[in-house]
Amino acid sequence: MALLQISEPGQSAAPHQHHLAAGIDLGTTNSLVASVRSGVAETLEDESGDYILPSVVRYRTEGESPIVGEAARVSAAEDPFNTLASIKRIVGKSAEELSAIPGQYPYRFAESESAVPKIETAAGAVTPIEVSAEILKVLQRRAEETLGGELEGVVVTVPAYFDDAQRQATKDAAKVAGLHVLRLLNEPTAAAVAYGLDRQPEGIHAIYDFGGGTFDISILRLTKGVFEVLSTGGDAVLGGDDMDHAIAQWMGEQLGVEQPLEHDPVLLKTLLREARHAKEQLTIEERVELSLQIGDRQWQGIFTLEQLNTLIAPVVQKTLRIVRRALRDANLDKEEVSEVVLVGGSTRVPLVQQQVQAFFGRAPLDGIDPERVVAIGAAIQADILVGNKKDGELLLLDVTPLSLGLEIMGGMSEVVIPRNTTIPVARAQEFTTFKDGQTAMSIHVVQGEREMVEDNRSLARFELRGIPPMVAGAARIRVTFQVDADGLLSVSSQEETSGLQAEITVKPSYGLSDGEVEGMLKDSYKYAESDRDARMLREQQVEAKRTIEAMEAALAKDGEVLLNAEEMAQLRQMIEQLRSVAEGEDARAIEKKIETVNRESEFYAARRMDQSVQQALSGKNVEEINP
Amino acid sequence: MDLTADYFTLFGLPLDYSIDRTRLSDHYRQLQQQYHPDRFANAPEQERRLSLQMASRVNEGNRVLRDPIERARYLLEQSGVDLGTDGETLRDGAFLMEQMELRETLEAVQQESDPVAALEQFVEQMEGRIREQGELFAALWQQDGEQAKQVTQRMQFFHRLAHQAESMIDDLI
Repeated sequence: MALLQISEPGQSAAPHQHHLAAGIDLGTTNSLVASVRSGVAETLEDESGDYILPSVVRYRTEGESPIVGEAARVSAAEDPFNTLASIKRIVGKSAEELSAIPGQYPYRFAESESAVPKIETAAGAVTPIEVSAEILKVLQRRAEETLGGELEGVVVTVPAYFDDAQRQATKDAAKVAGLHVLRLLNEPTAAAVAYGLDRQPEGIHAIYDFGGGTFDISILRLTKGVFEVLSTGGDAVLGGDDMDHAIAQWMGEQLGVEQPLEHDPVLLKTLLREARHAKEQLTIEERVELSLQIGDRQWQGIFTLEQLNTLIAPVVQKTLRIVRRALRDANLDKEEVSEVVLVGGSTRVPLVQQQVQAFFGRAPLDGIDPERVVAIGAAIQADILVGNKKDGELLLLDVTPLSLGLEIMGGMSEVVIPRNTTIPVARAQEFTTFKDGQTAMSIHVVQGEREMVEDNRSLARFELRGIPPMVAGAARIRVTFQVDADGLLSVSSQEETSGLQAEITVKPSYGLSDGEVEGMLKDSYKYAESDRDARMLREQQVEAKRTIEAMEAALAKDGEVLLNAEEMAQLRQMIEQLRSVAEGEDARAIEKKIETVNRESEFYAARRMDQSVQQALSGKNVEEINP
Repeated sequence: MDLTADYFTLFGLPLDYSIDRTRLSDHYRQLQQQYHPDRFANAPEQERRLSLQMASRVNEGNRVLRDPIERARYLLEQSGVDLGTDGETLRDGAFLMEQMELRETLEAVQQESDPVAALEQFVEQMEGRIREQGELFAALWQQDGEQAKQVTQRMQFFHRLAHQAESMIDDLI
């Protein structure tokens, strides 16, 4: 019998390596990147010392790379149609939805053959996903330069209230930027992580996250290292931008502008900038002196905090209504909340702070810079997920923000997974045929709280065909919804009497197909064909390395316990084969080999899982069971 | 982990309507600490897939066991009682009367001077009725499946009314 090598408990075969990972807060107004370095999570700065990257992209001519950030932001007024700001507001929206409210968005939409809207720019038509990808690329470059190596993975934050289409679009943007997404993390949850790890108080926390373009509230419970989101609520298009618009509108009135500001994009952008500036000044002062001069119009006067408060009060009230509903969903009274955390740039506004404090009857926590807290939380989570921390650290249990359902007879929506269900989750619902001999059934997946399908968000439609002809009501069609830890849905259906199966990953009806995402990836490398091949090889090599490390760590931990000598030898041999293939230059061969290793190690994965449940429930660890 | 094991076994709880909530919570957290996909973010593909399935199962089990009505339905299913469809009517005259009265009460609430407070009170009343029926269920489900099924249907009715009242509150505020 071969002698087994037994490593020290807690020591993996591979020497400990620090994996590079980052947390990205992809915001409506500003974006940030943070990473854990020497145990401390901090936001990363650019060469001029700024940690904030304005989420603004200015396209120049075709073939010329766009300008991203502050330089783009300051040029917004002079080049409004090529300078795209607040793109997060339309990410994941369909062309149809956007055309239903013309004039609301300061972009020139191009004709689009696909359902994803395209914006006309000097560099050609671009999708919101590509615009987001440009922002992500800049942050990626910043992180890689600061950390001195390629990022193995990132955690990208999304508003808790983002629907499936918006989440998918965010993930696609990361893909187009060439990033490996470890997890999409809800912004309020990220903020809770940033605070929670510092102090670890057990109790109920309310995270009030009011950013540039979105509002989110999450109610969380922390118990013994597990953060459970109890409920979440929000509005994906309510934010500081709305305050700016209210102020700009008022300024327009003072200047005697009669037509709606939206008709004059240059004027609108100029006033919005003035509005934002005034709002910021009023966070530290009681009054500001305004001197507006736009074209031949002119106005000078005093703008007071009181006037500001009147203008923005409706926006703040709207957030508190959403807070009330989230508390009710969590079955809690506001008195039971032990800590309130403020997140997002808009919580710097004094009225917001006062109203939140008055509502909960306690002073909110704001120890961590509200603008950085989300990125910091994301960085901490990325550090855990990429494998720099031992198990047994913090665990996050998040929820789905919106109900997921199916269309049933009469255009009604039948909920399969209600809002605020802990994810991941799988749930099945049975349906039957409506007519004798019916052989096909169309399945329409929707998201939202309304009773009628037409009032909810349509996510996907697919057909289950080939149902054996039976009398009406005899067929048993089981539709299963699976929501993963990123909050993304996939749906499968099965006719139970015949075993017929149809499976789809829900891509929003108007989302990008995988082919389109790939097309964008290719586009972004079209000026450097060889770069693209190199990139694909590099990606496969990184994936191979990840697989090898994961397998080796598993084998070192419990290979001797769970495998016989022969199985062990086989797995080790496969790992070695993968290692040598990965040294070569054939991306496809590496990909295939990774698949083989995954397939052939399936039985081992299952045994490891079985073993860990027994440990979980008995509270013992391997050493105790197998001395 | 056996994905086909019943939820009570999964959470190490005795097969009973009354449950130890603290124990359920503790075991739930322990199981998620083990199985959540975050624990497998860097694991091989196969383990990631298994972890997704298991964490989903653990979440679903926790939801079913925690909810008084779902737990009752689940116990009946496990003991082979056919629950029929949701719309099945009860042949219980007194309960039919009560159903009608409650529906009328709910409709009348909108005319109250403080409809939100009245609706909140109504929700509480329904929750009280569900608790009461739950105690009844605990006492008889092992002996009389048919009776237990009727009790479950009553709980479902109260739940639907409570839910309706909650949506009305949502519309009002």
